[in-house]
Amino acid sequence: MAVAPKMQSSPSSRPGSTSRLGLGDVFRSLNYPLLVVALIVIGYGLLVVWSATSESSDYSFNRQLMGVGVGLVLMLVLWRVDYSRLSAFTSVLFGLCIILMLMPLLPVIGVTINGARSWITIFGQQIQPGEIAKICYILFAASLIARYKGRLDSGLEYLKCFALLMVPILCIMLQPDLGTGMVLFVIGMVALFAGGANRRWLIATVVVIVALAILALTLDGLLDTAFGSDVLLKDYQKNRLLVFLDSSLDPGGAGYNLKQAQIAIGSGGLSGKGLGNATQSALGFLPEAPTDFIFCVLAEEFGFLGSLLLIVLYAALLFLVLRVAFTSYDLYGTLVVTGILGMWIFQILENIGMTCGLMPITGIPLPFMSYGSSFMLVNFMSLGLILSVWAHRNPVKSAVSQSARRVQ
Amino acid sequence: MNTYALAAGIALSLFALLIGGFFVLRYLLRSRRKKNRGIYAPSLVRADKDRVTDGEQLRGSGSLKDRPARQGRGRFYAFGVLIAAIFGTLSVKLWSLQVLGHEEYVRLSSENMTSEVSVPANRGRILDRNGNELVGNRPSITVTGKRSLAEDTALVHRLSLVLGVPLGIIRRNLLDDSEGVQSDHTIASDVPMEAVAYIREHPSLFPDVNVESRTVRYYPYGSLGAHVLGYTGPVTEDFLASQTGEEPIPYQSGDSIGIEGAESTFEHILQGMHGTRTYKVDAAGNPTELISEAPPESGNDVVLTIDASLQRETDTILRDIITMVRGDGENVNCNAGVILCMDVKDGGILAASSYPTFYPADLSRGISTELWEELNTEESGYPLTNRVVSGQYPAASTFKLFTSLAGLTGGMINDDTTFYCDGYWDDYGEDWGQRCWIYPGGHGTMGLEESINQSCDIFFYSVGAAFYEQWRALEGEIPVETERPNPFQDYVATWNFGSPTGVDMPGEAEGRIPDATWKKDAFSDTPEEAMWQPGDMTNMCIGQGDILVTPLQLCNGYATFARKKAVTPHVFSHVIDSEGDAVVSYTAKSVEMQPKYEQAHHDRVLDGLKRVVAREGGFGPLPVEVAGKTGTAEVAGKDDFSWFVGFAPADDPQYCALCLIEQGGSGSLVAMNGVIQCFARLYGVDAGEITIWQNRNER
Repeated sequence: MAVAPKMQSSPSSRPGSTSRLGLGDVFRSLNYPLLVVALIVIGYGLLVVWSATSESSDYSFNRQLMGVGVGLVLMLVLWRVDYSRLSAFTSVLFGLCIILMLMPLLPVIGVTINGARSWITIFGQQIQPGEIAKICYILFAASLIARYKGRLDSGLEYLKCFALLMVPILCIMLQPDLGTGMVLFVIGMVALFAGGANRRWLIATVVVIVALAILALTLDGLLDTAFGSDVLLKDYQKNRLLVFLDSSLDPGGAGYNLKQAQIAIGSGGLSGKGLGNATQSALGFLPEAPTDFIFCVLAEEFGFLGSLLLIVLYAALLFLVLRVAFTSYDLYGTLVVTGILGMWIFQILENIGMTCGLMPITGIPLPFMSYGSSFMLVNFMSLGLILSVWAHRNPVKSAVSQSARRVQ
Repeated sequence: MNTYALAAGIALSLFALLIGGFFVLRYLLRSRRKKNRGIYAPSLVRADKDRVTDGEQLRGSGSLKDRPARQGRGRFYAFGVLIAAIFGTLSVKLWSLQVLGHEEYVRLSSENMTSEVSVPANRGRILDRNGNELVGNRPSITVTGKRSLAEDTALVHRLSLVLGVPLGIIRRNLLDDSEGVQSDHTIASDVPMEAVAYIREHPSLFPDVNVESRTVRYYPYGSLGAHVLGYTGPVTEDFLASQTGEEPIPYQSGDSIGIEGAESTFEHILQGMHGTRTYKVDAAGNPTELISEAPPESGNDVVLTIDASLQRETDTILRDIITMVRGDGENVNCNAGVILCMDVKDGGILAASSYPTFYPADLSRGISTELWEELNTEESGYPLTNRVVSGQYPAASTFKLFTSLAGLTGGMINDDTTFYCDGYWDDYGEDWGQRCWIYPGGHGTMGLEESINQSCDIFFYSVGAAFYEQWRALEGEIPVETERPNPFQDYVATWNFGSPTGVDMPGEAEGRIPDATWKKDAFSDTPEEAMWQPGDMTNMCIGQGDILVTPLQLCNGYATFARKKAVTPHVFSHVIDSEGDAVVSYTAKSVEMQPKYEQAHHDRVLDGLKRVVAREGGFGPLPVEVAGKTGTAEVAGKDDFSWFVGFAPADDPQYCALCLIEQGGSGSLVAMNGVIQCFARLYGVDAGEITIWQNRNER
């Protein structure tokens, strides 16, 4: 036990370093329930994506498979890496976040799709750096907040942290990518919340954000007429919000997606139309079916039972992740896992919620389900980090076995 | 967004900012005095300052109970509650969408993906009595577009080049509203395949230009029998709007409907029923798969009593006669006429020619305003008018047949009745004197048969005067002249004059048999002229004055005389379905109003009619005896109209034919030639050259 304090002062020489463990220990350190549930979700996702992309030449199922393959490798690598080593690179991660988010704005490699400059082309592959940046952001937020050892009381320090967390979000809003921006904001707030920030500060932040949002919405019309262009919110963003409040406002335009999404889900019924029989997406009524509206394809093909299965799987996955957060050896690990947890909760809520009319429509993909290799990599990397936190949850035991080995 | 909402929004956000600011301020003031404990247990919090160093952080001990998240468990349990709440809400929402709202969304889904396309049915054909196709259908590749395309000058130029149609025509077709303002306008019909291929391969050059394969009416013989056949046109928006949905045949925009002639009369037989194809469509509306199909039902074919070869003959004869009369130089205004030939036995019309004529094909494609105006000018002679049934003329001397029968039946003419003709008749005084056509000569003492033969007017004036006296004698019983019975007019009406014959051709006129009542109405503005005068009666008896008949009424009257029984004239023979089986045959309606006369009277009049033709040499080479009557109608302000109507064989009549040449000049042989040629054709002999130049002064 005397070893522990010594180890604490120098994380790099932590006893939990996995490199010296035997093969049996390595596999014992796997969180099997989590991995099994995650793999079932991934398999389910591949099935639905295969069905949604089989009729379309715009999407390639092989590319999705490739994303899963690369993701699995990345996951295994991260699992073996001691996550706590990453806690020291706060400023590096911060810089990496900003670079990734500004990359699409560069000439030549930047690509504009649907009015957002969110993609880059490297070696003929289209990548969305904003997705990869999510991982960096989670790690950055965790390492930033973990320094406060669970007691972020000072107003000045809170403001400093909040400001630092907002910088990458402002960068991504330059693309602009409101969806990713919202995800990052949620991750940041979760880090502050779990990191022990004073309750009053959190409440004050939420109140101010809500007030600013209402102010922006109300002043937007005034500013638009005053300056003659879209100053705060784009028209389509405002439309989405208004349509969310009343879907009959614009059935041909912004309301169209919502209406078609609900038709797809509703026509699935209890047991669905069967694999490959999703007429709403196959006949093109549902836009972006394999990406943002993949849940509609699932709901149409497998019905309420299929949807419920996914929800149960997701719930199981998230509770298993929460369990990892509870068992993390240090606060850094806890914050990394809760950051990932917050990202997934929010994306699932927003994606499924928008398709059934509970949330406004935003382009946020569904974890492990949506077509898109960048986000698939993010999910596997997240899974890898969680597995790493789990694998390194028990430094004492490792240290004991290690010192025992050393004695031998 | 209205002003109130705006003000409320600003107020609310300012209020929220104030509250937020209050908390910030309150905390800043409080935090100076008292350090917050934080969410994690103090035992774990090793640094007592907020400043932190790299790498140093909060860690748990070896025991799982000491882990950071366990210490801050309130906040971490919140995640669990959040997950449960979110997934619970989503499940409830999905339940309501997928289980409760299932049926409604299934309906919306199938509405989304299916599209019904109407498949037009073929219109039935019109055949002649021998099965020759008079009107058929043929496919026509048509280029159509919306009216607004006319504004795109570059597009109109391209269309002009590709279609080989002048610019002005394309613009005019696009702007023409005869097919309805909403529908696609026909830019060009019967477009060559190369042009179609070019347009289809360059959709970007021809936006909103459609190429359709349409079925159009096809008239193998051009203008043959145009007035009998009529024409079709697109249904009008007004007609579609007036449909109640209860009709046996529902029409749709773009359908053709019969407008004139047999196309109109037999519309209910010819028109087919639309079929429906249900397609699965994608979001862009492109059909991807045929789900179900209700095939269209073609309309049935109508067989007419018309004999196409005879019709062609009469069309040609009529045109030739009129051309020759005009070329003669004496009657340059001659521009119209009628030849009508009926089967005496059953009243079936074998040929009905009306001149001037038109080409139905030009009209069936949709009539352009220009063409419509051109067909309705005085110079063109109103070619769309079917003079056979719509033209009304003084019957002239041909009417003497009916005057004779009226006189014989009424007792005005007996076996030995004669009148003396000195060319001038003044029984009602010098002021009311009337001439015979032969004036300044005279016919001498005339009996009935010879009066018919030589068409002596004096004889029939005398008959008319006797009828007038009979009518006036009623003055003692019925002083008001319009209330008295009219023995002559009533008798003539039994021969179907003054009322439609009921023929199955549209646009039939009534004709007019004037009497005191009619005259009072007609001259109501000048009451001093409204009295029924003896001259009105005597003029009517020679078919002049105010009497009007249609060629069909006159021919029908002669045919009725020939068969001694009235039947309704008709062009309808039977209906055959798509398998060629006759499904509906003509059933003769019994005519209640039958003319009455004695056989002896019939024989005397027939004798007169035979003499008319015999005088002309028995119609040359015809193998049968013909009975008939000439007529020269005087029309105010126009040259005389020439009539001839006759039937053959005289003693066992089979055919009845009529010819009228408007403004053909005095001399009834002009019209007689039309009938000779018609009979020659029917009996398969060559009547030789038209011989209209003989006896130009004969009546």
